[in-house]
Parts: sequence; C-alpha cells; structure tokens
Amino acid sequence: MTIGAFAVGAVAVSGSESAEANLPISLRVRIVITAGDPITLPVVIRIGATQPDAVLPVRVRIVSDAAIGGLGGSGGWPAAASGKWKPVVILDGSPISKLVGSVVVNHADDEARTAEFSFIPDTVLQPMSLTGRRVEIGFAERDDSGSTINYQVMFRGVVDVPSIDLTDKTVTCTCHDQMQEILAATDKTWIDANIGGRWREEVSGVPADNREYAEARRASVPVSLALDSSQSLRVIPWRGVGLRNLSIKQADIWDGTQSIDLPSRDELRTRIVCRMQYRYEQLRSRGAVSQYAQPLRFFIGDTRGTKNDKQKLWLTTAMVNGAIESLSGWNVESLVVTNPKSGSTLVGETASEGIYIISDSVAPELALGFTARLSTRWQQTVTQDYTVEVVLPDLETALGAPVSEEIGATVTAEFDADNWQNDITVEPVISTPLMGDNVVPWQPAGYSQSDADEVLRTLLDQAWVKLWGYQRSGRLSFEMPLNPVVWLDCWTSFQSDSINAAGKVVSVEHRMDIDSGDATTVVSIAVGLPGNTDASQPSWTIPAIPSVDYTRPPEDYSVEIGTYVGGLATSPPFDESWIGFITNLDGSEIAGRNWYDRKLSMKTPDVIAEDRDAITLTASSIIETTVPTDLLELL
Amino acid sequence: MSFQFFADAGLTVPASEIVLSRGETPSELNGVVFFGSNVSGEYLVNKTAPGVDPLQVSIVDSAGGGVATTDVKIASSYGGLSSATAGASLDLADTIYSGSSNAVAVYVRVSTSLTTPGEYSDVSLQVDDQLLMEP
Repeated sequence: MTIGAFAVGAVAVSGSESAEANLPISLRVRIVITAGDPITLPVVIRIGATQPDAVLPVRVRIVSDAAIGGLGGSGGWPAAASGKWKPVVILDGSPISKLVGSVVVNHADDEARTAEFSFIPDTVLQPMSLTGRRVEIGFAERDDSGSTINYQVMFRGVVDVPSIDLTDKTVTCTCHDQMQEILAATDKTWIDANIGGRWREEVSGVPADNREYAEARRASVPVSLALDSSQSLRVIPWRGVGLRNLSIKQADIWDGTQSIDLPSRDELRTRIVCRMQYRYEQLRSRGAVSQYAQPLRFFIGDTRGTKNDKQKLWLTTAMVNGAIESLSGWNVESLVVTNPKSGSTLVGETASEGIYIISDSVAPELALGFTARLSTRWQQTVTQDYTVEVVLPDLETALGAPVSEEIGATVTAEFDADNWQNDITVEPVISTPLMGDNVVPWQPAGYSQSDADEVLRTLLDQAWVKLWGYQRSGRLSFEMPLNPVVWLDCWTSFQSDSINAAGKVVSVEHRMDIDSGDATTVVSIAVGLPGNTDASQPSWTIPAIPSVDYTRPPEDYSVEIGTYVGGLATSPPFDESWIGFITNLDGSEIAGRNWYDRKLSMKTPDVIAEDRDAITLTASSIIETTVPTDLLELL
Repeated sequence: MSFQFFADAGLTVPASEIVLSRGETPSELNGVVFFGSNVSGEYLVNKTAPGVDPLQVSIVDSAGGGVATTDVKIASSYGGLSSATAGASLDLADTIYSGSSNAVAVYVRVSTSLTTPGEYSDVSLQVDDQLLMEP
C-alpha cells in the first residue's frame, strides 16, 4: 500500500556573485499523490453449529456382596449361589435370545480380550453386517423366578469375524476388545504419563504406531497392559500397589484341575548382557608454526677475523611462497617472510675484502627466513563401547552356570558436513590453537553423551524387567466355578491341599457351556523362584565415560627443517629425504664436489594413526541385582 | 456428533454410559471417561461466550431417587477427586480441539449409600452449551 510519494526538485545556482545577490533562491516542491490502495481488514464471521448436549449416563450397578465376595475357602459358587445362571450376550444393544454352544471370554496380560459365542438368528440376518458391531458379554445369576440378577460384565468389544454353519444355521462370532486400535490411537503424552518407563528409538526402533510405542515403553517397566471391561486402558503392575488381593483355597476350585508349568533351565536367564555403542565424530584441529631463519652473513659470507664463510645462494621469497603452498592438507593462517634490509654490508673487516650490496628492488625478493602459522583439521570416528551385565547371582548359583541373553543398541551422531575436512569455510568452525590440538566431539542435540547414557539406562531397565519376566515365567493354573471378579489385576494367594502359592493373575478364561450347563473360570497366575520377597527396580550406576590413554610425544607435533649447503668439500651427496633449505655456495662449481638443486623443501608433521583412525573406547561392568520372588511351595 | 464421551483416551470407543459396579456394602466407585472428538480439524467452544467461558461438565439427576448428584464427584485427575465438591460441575477449557492428544479425562467418583442390589442410572454427566466450530 502506498500512501504518497514526494519528489523534490532544486534549481541550480551558479554565476557571479552579483547574480547570486540578484536572483531569488527558489525551491520547487513537487507533490505527487498516487492512488493508494485502500486499507482493508477482512472481518471473518465464523458461525458454529450448536451441538446437542453430550450426555453420559452414570450407571451404578449394585450386586449382592455374596456374588462378588466369597472365595477364601468359603466354597460354593459366589457368582451364582443358586447354581442357576445365564450367559448374556448383547449385540448392538439387543440381547441375543438363542445362544448355543459355548460362550468363551479370554483375558491375558498384554493381549486383547477376546470372546466367542454362537447363536441362531431369530430374524433374517445379513451376516456381513455383523462385522464391527458392538458386543457386550456378561454373566448373570437366575433367581427363582427365572429373572437375571447380579449381572456382571466380562467383555465389551466388537465382532471381528462372523462365521456361519449352514447345516444348523448357527452364526459364530469371534470378537475382540479393540485393544490394538485403542492403543494405536492413544496419545503419547498419555502413554508416557501412565506407563512410564524409558523409550529410545535406538533401542526399540521407529514405532509403526503408538501401540508399538506403548509396548516399547512397557518393556522397561514391570507392568502389563489390558483393557478393562469398560474398554478403558489399564496399566497393571506385576506386584504391589495397584493390585487387588484375592484368596483362593481348595474349597474354591474344581478338584483335580490345578497344575504347575515351570520353565526349563534353558528358558530362564541369569544375566542380560547390555551392549551399547555410542558412535560420533571428533572434529579435530591442529595448529603448527613453521619457522626458518638465517643471519644475513650466512648468505653474504663472513671473513671477519678467522672466519672464512663463503657466500651462498639466497633463499628467495618465491621459494618460501612455493614451499608453503605445496603443503597439502594444511591451511596457511599467516605467513611472514623476513627479507634482508637493502644496503651495503662489509663481507670482512674492510672494504677490500668485499662489499655486499642489496638494492631496494632486490631486497623483497630475498628471504632470511620466514614464520608460517599453519592449521589443519580432520575428523575422527570414536566409538564408546559399553558392556554392562545385569546378573542375578542367586539364580546363577542355583542353576550352576550363567544363562545369558544379549540386548543392544547403537547411538550414531551423524556428521554430514560435506568436505568439512578440506574446506575451512564449511561449518562448524572450530578454533585452532597456535600450537597443539583442539578436539571437539560432534554430539548434537538428541545424540549427546546424556542421550547415550539414557539409551544405556533404557537397556538396563529392559534387562531388569526381562530377568524378572523370565523368573516369573512359571504358571500355576486351576479351574473354578465361573467368577467374573477374577481378573488380571488380582494378586492371588492360592492355598490348596498340595500347593501354597502367590502371584499375579496373568490369564483368565471364562467358559459358559450352554449345553452342559458348566460355567468355569480357568485362572493362571505367574509364579517363579521361591522367596516371596520384593525388590525395587534399580537406579543404575553406569560405567564412566572411557577416554583415550594415549599421550603423544613432542615429535608428533614437530618436524625439523634443516639447512644443506652444496659445493663444500664436506657436502654429502643429495638425499631425497632432506627437508629444509637446500642451497649451494655462490660462484663457479668446483668439480668433484656435490652440488644441489636449490630449493626449499617443506614438510608438516604427520597426523599419527591414533589421532586419525577410528578408535573404540571400551567400558564394562557387572551389576548384581535382585528381582522380586514369588511363593510356590508343594505341601 | 463429533464431540462426545469415549471409553478410552484414544477416543476410539464411544461411551454410551459409564458403568460402576460394587457389592451391597457401600464403597467408593471410581471411573474415568474421555471427552473429545476424533474428527480432525474441529473445535468446541461455549456458545454463551465462545472462547471466553469454559465448557463445563455438569452432573444431572434426571429422575430423583437412586443416586443423587451429591453422591457424585468429577475431576480432571484421579487425585483431584478427593478435593472435588460433590455434585459440582467441572470447568473444562474454553476451547477444546479435536484429536486424541486433546482428549479431556473426566474422573468420576460415586459414593452412594445405596445397598439394594439393582441398577441406578438416573444420574448422568452432561456437557451443554456447545458450539462446534470448523476452521
């Protein structure tokens, strides 16, 4: 938008003094008014749609204390004391009247709740329409009048697969509680807050969805996930606070149904080896000073007193520049060439011995020496290699040998600045000392040392949870009259005529056989090493960061620049390995002596292998720990 | 209806009711539901003063008898139930955006002295005065 523009013109003033006095000084002011855009501000009126009230009935269901109580050796059938019961299956809000066969509901830690039921449709049915329809399954007692009482819900979910038996027109529906899709849709913030634990992409990979993310987090804390009968996600601890206590004794179970399934020696683990490699680049720079100097008399000769130094061919500024430029891999930070002063100098004590004259024009071309500040930079791959073994010493002693498993992760801090090594304009810029090294680890955000530590801690947490998981992999199973109260959040004290045990319920199956009238709950609880003791998840002390123990000798930083003069009686034959200023006596060559090609040969210190090649720094430790133990005794 | 109560934090399963069960002996019943929308790109405001007045969950007794509104507490966290005032409404944000990351947890505690076995559903949670906006 243009509000206006002004052009200002001026009349030139010139001429004689009188003209200046006579002419009026004028200044034309031109005002140009352009057609400016109007100032506009759109006013957006957004009209929302009034929504009907969101109403959620709160249904309080009160059942008799007896129906949800009992157990503890009281015997009988708490959920259906009368022995009369009824399976309830509600499909899309309507109870199914003609159930046949069995109704089965399965619950297990970290698995979707599943159910299966069969029915004969009492109206024309389009089987495909069943898929995805909402299902509620419950168990109810019948009173003397045949009415259902003490209704308890055991399943809510959707029909997954309907199948049809055309022989008897029976429709069988397998259902699940949508656990996977609910977990996938649950926000990570909720998962972090409610599951806790640690998660690192380096350990678990990129999760395909939030369900995988939740399961990865769960792997580092001793909890299980399940949906309750309201399809609300529950985080269930393996032991302690948050579990309901349940006492089950011999009188509460069906006789002859208890069994124990214990892990084999190979199925246990006494130690988990956690291997974490942290790989990054060290950005290194090195500063070096190259100096060479000779006194003027080295070149012009010196016959003063008893001296008899001959004149030598000069080192030139061009030779210095050429030599410095030839240093591949090094940058010239600064170069100062020391030129001789112009003027005349007596070679000996008197003028008769000779006068050496350097003209103003020649002096800059000659060099007495030089000081060059050089720098180079390179990158070195460093791998910190940690091995931490988390050990259950008591179990290892009991088994007589270690049974181990290895888990691992690699943290790689990528450095992708192309040509950083050769082009000093490529960032990042690191400072270079005048002499010596500067080492800057490239550990950007997300790949820092503390991130690597967190990866190792994640592995250690997973190791501890794995050890506990293997330790509690025994299963005590039994059957009892169907009881919907028994669920995955129950810590069960079990005491039968032959077994005394305690552990968390890990699976429950409710079976309602309509034809036989049997209604049974099959329960499995996790049991493991004896002891029934608690143990907390450790806060880990990880090994110290490993460091380089190599100390460089001084020669790694320096190189000797010599002076070699040809034409002397003592001059040796030329050697290709000579580094330095190579010159000759000035004057006619004397036969039989060694004469050289005059040059300045430069070399820089090599970067030694320990500083340039990839290095691996190792650190290891063994952490002895304990995990909770359970109660399992044969009486 | 896009904004509604759900059974899960992922806003996957619409909740038609919240069922809380216990035996005859009075004890606290706790539950949680989530208010939100899984339709992307929407937000909800209070139609009385959009973007100014908060949306509100109130406790409504439709029939009297059974469970009373004063038997019910609601809060935005489980810990908040202890200090919540029985029967009082719960203020939500003045604007609620759709998506599971914006799901609003509503914790419910029912402490009724009812002891007779049966089902009581006269009380409900209600979010009214809603205005649905589509950017």
